[in-house]
Amino acid sequence: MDSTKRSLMTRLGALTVGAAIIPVSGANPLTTTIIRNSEAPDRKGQSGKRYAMVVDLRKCVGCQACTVGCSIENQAPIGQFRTTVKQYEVTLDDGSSELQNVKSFTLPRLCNHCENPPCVKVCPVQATFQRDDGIVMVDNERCVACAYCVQACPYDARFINEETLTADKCTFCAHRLEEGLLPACVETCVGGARIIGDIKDPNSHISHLMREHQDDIKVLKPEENTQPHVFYIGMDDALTSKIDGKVAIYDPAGENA
Amino acid sequence: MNITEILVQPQAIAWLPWAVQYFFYIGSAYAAAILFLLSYIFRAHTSHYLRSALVLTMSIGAVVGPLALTGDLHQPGRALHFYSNMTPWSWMSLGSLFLPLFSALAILTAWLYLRDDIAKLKHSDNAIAKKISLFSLGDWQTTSTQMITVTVLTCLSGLTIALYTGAEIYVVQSRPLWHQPAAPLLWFVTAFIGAIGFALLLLALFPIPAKANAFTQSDQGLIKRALLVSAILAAVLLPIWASNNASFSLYESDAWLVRLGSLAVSFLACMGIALLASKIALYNRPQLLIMSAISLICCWYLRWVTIMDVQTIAKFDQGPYPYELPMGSAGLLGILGMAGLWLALALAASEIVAIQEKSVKSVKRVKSVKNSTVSQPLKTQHTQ
Repeated sequence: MDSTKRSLMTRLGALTVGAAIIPVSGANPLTTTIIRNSEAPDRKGQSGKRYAMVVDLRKCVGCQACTVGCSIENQAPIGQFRTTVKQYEVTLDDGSSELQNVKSFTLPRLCNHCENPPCVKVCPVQATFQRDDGIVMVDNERCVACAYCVQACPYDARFINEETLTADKCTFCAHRLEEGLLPACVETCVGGARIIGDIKDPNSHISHLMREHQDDIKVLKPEENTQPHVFYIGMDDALTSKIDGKVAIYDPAGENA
Repeated sequence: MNITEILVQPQAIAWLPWAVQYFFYIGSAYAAAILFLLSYIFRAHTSHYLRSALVLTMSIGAVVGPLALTGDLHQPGRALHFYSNMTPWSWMSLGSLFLPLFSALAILTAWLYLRDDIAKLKHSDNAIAKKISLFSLGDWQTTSTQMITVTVLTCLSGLTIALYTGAEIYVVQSRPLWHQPAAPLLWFVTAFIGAIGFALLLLALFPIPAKANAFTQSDQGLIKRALLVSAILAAVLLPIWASNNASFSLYESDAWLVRLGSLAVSFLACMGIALLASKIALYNRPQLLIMSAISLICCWYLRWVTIMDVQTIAKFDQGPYPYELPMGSAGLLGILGMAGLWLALALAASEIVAIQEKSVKSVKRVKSVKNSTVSQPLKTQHTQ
């Protein structure tokens, strides 16, 4: 089905009965109230700071060194990842001279440590929380592994760890940051594409970068109102929200197999 | 711009088939609570058989459902954490309060309603049945005020279950197919299809000889109306639900067309059996089993599609993420196990009603009063 038909059908659905109930979903107070659960003394983190990450996509070569570095550092089970680099093949169809020029686009993915984290507000036992320094954490001794946070995360950044049987996610390597070290993914990035720092400190490297590229900073799914704190430089709008692309082949079948 | 995914890590399914079982059994339980209240209010017109089937559907679902739910926790041993860390803004946490209350009330209602039947077991020749008769806890009569009060409370409690289960998925903004009013409404209306399905199955488990004369036209009317209304509403809600998302279209996927088509057919089948309900003899076991199977499959498959298949839709990438039903306890074995548990409880509980009913020598067959304007309620202590 071509994209015109597809958008027409989508619009038809919304225009008919769907349109009558859309405003109800817009008025959901749970999407606007921010919950952090950081009252306990051991949930403060480094108060006064706000950690964030800039991913400079112009420098990412898709080598997956960050993926491996994270796996070694955080010992996620084989096949489960706190961070990974997604890869897409992109061609232009705008009639430009680069029509046949196939390019690879790489998109490092990790927890966005949102300012308005949807995972925190659904957790039924307050096992997941956001420290004062913005890092979203999981207390995996309290977690009942209901996977509600996995459902609520719009970025698929969370998973149920097959070994610990609790919710798991990127912590910005908080244990390393507290010791003055860089997160494993930042440390291993060969192109220097990942930059972490305190955005409350105007003199930090990340603050300089964000000022310098303020017109070219994008976040994933801005429409979700989650206010992500992983910022991308060199991102195309076609890849910020749900990707309209061809499917990756998980299970080759048919005549093209 | 043409984008093709090259390296995309699929997201594993986070809510397992256990969740489907939970929403299936607990849905049938709260819908049965509402239907039981109706049938009890109009107890002069409905039969003790139908009321017993509904009250048992309610109480058994309220026991089996929560067990399936603990299976969906990957750490079932930590269920107590819900109570040591109450979280009033999380619907799941509120559910941890609502659910045990509903289960307790459902069991209390069933016990109160079936107390006289339990007490009558002392006349049985069977030694075990005699012992079970002690569970009536005395010879006092259950008053209709007691029954009505407890049943209304159970109904209200059942509505909190409908509310929290619906709200639980509704607040998940990251999944457009859940984050819309049509999703919880679909669950609510199809819960009644499940309740009727389980009630018909229980009727089929009751012994045949006593049943032939046990039903009223109002019984058939209740089954017919509940099935018809919920199937029509579900058929209306389904396309609204399927259309109501901005970023993708279900209609361009062959797999989804098959799923939505199958659901539409199952709703039509429910309407069909609803229309036939007034012609079908409720003591005919094969007919009951067929009607029960159609409605149970309809209710169950809707939950499977809205929970499991929706999770295969990628939130960011194109997907779909692959899912294959495992054979073990996280998959087929779990589904069969829960169904087996329900059936075992139903078989045991139906004996309470059955043994008592065998002694009833009653009235005319329902067919003979078919054209009469006066219903023929079965003579029980609850109809006075």
